Amino acid sequence: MAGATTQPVQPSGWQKFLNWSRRWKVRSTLWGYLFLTPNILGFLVFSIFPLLFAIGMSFTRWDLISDPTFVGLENYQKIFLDDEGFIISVKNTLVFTAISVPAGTIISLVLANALNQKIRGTTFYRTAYFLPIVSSSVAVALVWGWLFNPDFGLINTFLHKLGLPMFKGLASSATALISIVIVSVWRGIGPSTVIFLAGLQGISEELYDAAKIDGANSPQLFRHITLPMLSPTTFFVIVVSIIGSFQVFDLVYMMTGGGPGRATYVIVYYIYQHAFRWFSMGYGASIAFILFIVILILTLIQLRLSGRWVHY
Amino acid sequence: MKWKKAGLFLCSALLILTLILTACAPATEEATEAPPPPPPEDTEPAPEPTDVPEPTEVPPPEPVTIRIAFWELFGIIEPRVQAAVDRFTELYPHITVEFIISPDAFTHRDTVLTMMAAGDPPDVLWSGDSSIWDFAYRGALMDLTPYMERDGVDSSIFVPAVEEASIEGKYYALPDHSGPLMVYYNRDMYDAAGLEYPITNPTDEWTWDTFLANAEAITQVGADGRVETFGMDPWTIWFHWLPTIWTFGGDVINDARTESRLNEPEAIAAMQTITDTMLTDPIVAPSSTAFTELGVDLLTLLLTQRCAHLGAGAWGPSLFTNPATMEPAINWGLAPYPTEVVPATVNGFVGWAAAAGSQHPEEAWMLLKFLSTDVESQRDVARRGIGHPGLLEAYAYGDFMMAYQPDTDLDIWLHSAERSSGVPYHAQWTRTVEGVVTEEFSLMFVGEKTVEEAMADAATRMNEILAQPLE
Repeated sequence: MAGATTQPVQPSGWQKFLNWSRRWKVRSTLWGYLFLTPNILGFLVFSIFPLLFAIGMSFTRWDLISDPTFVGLENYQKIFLDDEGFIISVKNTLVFTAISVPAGTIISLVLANALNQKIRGTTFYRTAYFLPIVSSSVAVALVWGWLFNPDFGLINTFLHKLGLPMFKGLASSATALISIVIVSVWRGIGPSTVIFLAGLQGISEELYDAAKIDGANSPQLFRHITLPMLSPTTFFVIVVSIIGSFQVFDLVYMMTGGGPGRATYVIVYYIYQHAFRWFSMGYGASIAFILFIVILILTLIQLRLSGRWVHY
Repeated sequence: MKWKKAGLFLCSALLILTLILTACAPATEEATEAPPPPPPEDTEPAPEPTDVPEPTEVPPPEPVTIRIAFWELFGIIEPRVQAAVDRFTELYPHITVEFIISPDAFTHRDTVLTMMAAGDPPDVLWSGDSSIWDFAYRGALMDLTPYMERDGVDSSIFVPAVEEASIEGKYYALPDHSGPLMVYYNRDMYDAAGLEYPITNPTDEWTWDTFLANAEAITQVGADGRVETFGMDPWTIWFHWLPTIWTFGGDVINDARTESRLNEPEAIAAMQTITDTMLTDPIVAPSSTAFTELGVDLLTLLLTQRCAHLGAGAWGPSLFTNPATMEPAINWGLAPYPTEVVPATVNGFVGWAAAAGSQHPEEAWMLLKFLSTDVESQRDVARRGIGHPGLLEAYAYGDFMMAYQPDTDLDIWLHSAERSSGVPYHAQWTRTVEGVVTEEFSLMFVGEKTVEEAMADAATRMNEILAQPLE
């Protein structure tokens, strides 16, 4: 056996491929994470950290100026047991959501269907419907405030000329919230319409052709083809609209300041009042955390229920 | 090769992390900055250069950058602050002053509060009287008293309103300008209605009866029954109704500032009078919603000769005056606040304060002292139509923003200033008077609650808050 040497085992072609593949996979993974790093860091710094910070704040009494004081569950106890303003803001937010989401969804769907037809000036209409969302909230609030004004407003001028009773708009606690809903729906239909339009254009014409051959009329086409095929889009629009309506703030801030009385107090406006007007950041954070939980639960419920009516 | 790649990966990750952290870091230079220079002996202008050489052993002060926050109003504030700061930095060239300008007072307050919460407050801030109380009570403002004592700045050199910035014997702001709430009236509309002007002599008073009768005489109703020309603007904001309650003999809060007095008969009578101007025939003021669009509706009404009276403080003339030419747009005159039982009006106050968390307290004090005590800077306040100077020495020059009858108007103004009172601020002012009381009153102003109901509810909610401990 003397002089016998051990020859290095040459890797087979298959092993060479495996080694190369492993190295490539590690390299790819590393580069993948590298490219993701800015996003992950941004998410951690601007989303996760503020979220955790807000949760922490919700257990404190903090006026934004002096050091926060830990108060445990005191804020939550007060919110649920002794805060009429919170109850009012929750009620108003639910009413706002219950009206604005269905109204906005239905109007957007109808408009998208209209714009999906081969009519002249489609591009103009699409732009026109999208314009409100790119308009400044301040401008929107001022213009609509002017339109609703019971003394000088355009709406009441028309109603007056037609001999109809006056719409008190923002001046009455009975109509102030619905006025905000009207503006919100007007402003929000653009994006929803464009999303619906994209969904409509993704439906194969063959489905309509086949149904027409079977004798289906327009309502039947809409009921049995358009709506089911649009259900993922509709689901998305509803989820996003509900989240948006629970977070309504700018229109209330600009148009009514929560009034008359507390008729347009909504949750985020109430959070703002506590956090920045009344020096109760800890209390405001507690309400914000409750809002987060409510939106999370609502979204999970919708996801669970979506299996019954959304067809992918 | 493998280590090279891993090294590249780590370097890249570190670079990105560094960039993000750098971008998020506050823009300050404190970390490498030397301590602030010793305070100057006084703020008088530097002596003229002489042949005596400068002492070479005294090192020049380290450059310092401080920030001053204020809000804009009709484009007249920034030029005034800029002019003052230019002169200040001529005296103290080592100090650079950066501006933080908000579009309005509310945004300014939010901006300052957010900066304070972030631990990076502006060094000097323009502040309305209610904000001074809000901030000072919570320890956010620098106690100026030791600086005033050290530099010999006595509160007696300022208008009496300086006491509105004094809490428990400590001063938290020095006045920029102040002034009583007055009534501005449209002379042309008075002439057209064949009415005598409200007062003849500067020290005359006029009554609520005369005021309302004049407003009613000027009010014009269109063929459709709707009011087209209003006798007055709606007095729905607290600085309108507070002096009304006073002149009717009531108050918003007791002397100890622990309990509301809104449910007392005098206060109720005052608010009934104001509410009736908007809701009960003869209507003489537009409803509260019109006031929501202040700056559009009211201004339009005023400038188109459709509103004859305006209740306003020092800012009133800026509504009627073209800032470019300083020419008035309408023919207006000045009258005191109308009297019912006792003469009364409220004194508004805007001052300069320094943040307690300022990194450069000495320089902040130097700047705010200059803005409040420099005669030229203070005279500029009146010349530009911002308000009446807070410094008595500047006050005495008689610079006045009113272009019509400067002498007479100044006397009317001074008479009102003498009998004006400070706002009874307290630590929960924003949450009570500007919060729950305003909410309840808004229902009263649209007729959804009677005056008695709204006043009772406002008093109850106000007392609930006053009974709670501060945050």
